[in-house]
Amino acid sequence: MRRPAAAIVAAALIAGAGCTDIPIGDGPRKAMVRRVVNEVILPEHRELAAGAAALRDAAAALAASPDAGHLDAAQDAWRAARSPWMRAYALRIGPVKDDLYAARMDQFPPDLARITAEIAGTAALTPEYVAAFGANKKGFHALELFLFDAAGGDPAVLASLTDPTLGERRRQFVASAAAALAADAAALDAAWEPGRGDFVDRVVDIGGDGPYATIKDATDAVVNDSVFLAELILDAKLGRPMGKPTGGTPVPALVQSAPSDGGVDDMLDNLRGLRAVYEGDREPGGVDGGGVGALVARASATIDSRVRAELTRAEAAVAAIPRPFAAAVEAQAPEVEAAWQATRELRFTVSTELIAALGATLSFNENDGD
Amino acid sequence: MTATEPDRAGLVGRASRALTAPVDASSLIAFRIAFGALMAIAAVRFSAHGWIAEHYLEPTHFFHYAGFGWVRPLPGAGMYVCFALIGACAVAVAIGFCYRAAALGLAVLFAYAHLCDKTNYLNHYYLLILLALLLVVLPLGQVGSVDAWRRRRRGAPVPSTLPAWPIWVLRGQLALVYVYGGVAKLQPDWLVHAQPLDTWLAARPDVPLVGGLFAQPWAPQAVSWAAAIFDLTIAGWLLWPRSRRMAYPVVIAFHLLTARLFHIGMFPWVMIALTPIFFAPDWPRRVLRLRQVAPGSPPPAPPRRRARLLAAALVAYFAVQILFPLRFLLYPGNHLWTEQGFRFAWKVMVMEKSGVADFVVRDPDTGREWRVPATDYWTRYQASMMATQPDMILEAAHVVADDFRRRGVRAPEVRADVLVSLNGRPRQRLVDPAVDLAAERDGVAPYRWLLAAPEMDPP
Repeated sequence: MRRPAAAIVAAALIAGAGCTDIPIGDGPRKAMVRRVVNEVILPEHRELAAGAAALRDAAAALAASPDAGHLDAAQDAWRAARSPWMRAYALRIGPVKDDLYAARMDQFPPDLARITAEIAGTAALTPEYVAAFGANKKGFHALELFLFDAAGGDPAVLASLTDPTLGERRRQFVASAAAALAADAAALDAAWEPGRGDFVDRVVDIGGDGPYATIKDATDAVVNDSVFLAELILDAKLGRPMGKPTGGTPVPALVQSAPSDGGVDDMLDNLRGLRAVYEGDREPGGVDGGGVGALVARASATIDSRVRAELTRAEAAVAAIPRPFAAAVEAQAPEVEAAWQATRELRFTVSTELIAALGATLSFNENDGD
Repeated sequence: MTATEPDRAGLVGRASRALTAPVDASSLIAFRIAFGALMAIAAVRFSAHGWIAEHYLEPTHFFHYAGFGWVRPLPGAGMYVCFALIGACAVAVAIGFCYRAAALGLAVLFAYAHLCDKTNYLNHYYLLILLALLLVVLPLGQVGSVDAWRRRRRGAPVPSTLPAWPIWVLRGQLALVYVYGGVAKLQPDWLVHAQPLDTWLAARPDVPLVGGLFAQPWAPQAVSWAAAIFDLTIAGWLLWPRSRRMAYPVVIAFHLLTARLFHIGMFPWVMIALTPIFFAPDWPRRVLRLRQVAPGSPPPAPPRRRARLLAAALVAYFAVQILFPLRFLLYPGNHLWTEQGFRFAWKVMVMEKSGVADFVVRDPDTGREWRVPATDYWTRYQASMMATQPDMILEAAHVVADDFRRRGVRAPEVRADVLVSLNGRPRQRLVDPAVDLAAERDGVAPYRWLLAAPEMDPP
């Protein structure tokens, strides 16, 4: 009687110990995670690093020669750098969070008063000095304040940059803030790159050197970020500016990327990133490359169809918002409400059915359950 | 006296004699040590994971149990002190130092910590609270303890045995957990559709040895039935001496597997460590090859009146423990959907449910509306847990209403926009969006503002 019992106990202990010497195969979930980080997120970080480097160069050129041509180039470079950053919001794991790149590069709102105080000061606005600023005095939104002017347009920007009193200081800030942003983007990319920070490989080193002890934890991280992004678009980028939590009175000051009128572009890039993670492919509508959607389809074709359809509807509704976005919000344009409704449906679906289909845990922590 | 009365008196008498008969105390000592150690680990774990800050300091609003709305987390470092005291009491219980006071302190403090917020309800926390309360009345500090050692040094008599009834009390409590865990699985989603295990097992292909098996089409159904049969019968197998030696390894295997599959914290280790109470009372001596205890001095019998009061209290306790988990049968509809009668019923890991809840506040005087994300008042974790539990949704609506009254809205109406997916089904509205929840009162009656459960089968 003792031997079978001993055998069962031994087998149970082996199972319970989670012996990592036993190889874990590349099942569909691990393949999904590998696909998403290698084919979607890592390329976005590379494009971000390249774009930020181009922005640094364009900003330096603008600082040296503040004219319309260089301003246009710097503005285009700002948009081109921001786009992959917004798409990469679909999976903000690892260095971007752990090393606070998200805060350093994209704090909203920027503190114009404090930036102005620095510009009016006497400290040399070197890249190193600006890099040491608090998050609300640098990054994309801080740069945006000096590259764009929603009210006065490019003439107002050039006037500010060529102002006899503070123009040069402003140009120094623009050049140094862009250099700091480029340095952060390069460091973030390096943290992911194989052979350097290696996070792209560590993510799928389940139970080993990576951040995730189990396949489920890794899958949950991917799925959770899709949920968080849908909530972010719905609440922070649409709902609050529309005044949804404040009795319906629009609050245009809460519109992000208002100076560049990039709010709609930001949301479209966010949604493209979400789709890329879902499809496992950066090219929208391309061959389904084994993203989250492949797992959902295995569990429920109905839910998969719904997610895809709602992604498409949200993208179309957001794209239909008239520009400038801040004006559309203030005017309570019906297209803004339609975009909010479409994003709300998407958020409901990813927060309930997508989570349920994959047995994911919508977790923000490691709490026990039972 | 009728013909049956002597039999009944004989039965009661025999039961009474059996329950008060002196038995080897070593299994009870082992239980006390294991329980105290587990509670101490739980206290340390809570702090080490940062859950004290997350559960008690970060939230600005809490969800309350009925009758316990006055319970609030201590400010500042207070909850850290609370958990430190829980740990200290747990160690004292384990070693049997000032045992009864330590057990009472442990029960009160642990219960307090979990009464602060319904968000954090877990069946195994409930079990730990019940066991801690039981330990207050069980004489587990009389033998094999620091207290016993101190009494012996003072020359006071120290029993070498304990009566059998504490063993049966603990066995009964643990048996109820298993049996009702099995009862919770007697429903179509679990037995017919193998949900939620179908979804959960697919999410865990990396479990060593068995991960590959989980991908087999027959696996979810087989595991669902096996788990139900295990829960419903394991107490019996553990009680029967002939099956006990095979049953306990199965207990270990089952709980180790659940520990590997799910984030369920201390629960597997609690059950593994405490189910040896089903063994013979002298099992630790046999395992450790210690000498058997001499018949020696039995524990002093308590005064007759106290003994009767204790017996009556335990009978009442178990009557409640048997009946209370069944209250879900009094409510209409699918209890997985409505969750009325769900808590305190040992419904452990029986569903996959995710939801989203927002609130729409309307000022009837002006017609103005506010759409309030739940995260404006609660942490993401609280909002996520609230979204699937109607009693918490109702309380949330009242919190929002109270806040808007403070902001100057005379009679705010609060409606809830709640969508839920149950066991992989498409999402569906849980709450009637037309009902002003601020005007609804909580109570034991069925919630009239809940919408019908989804009719379609899970995938």
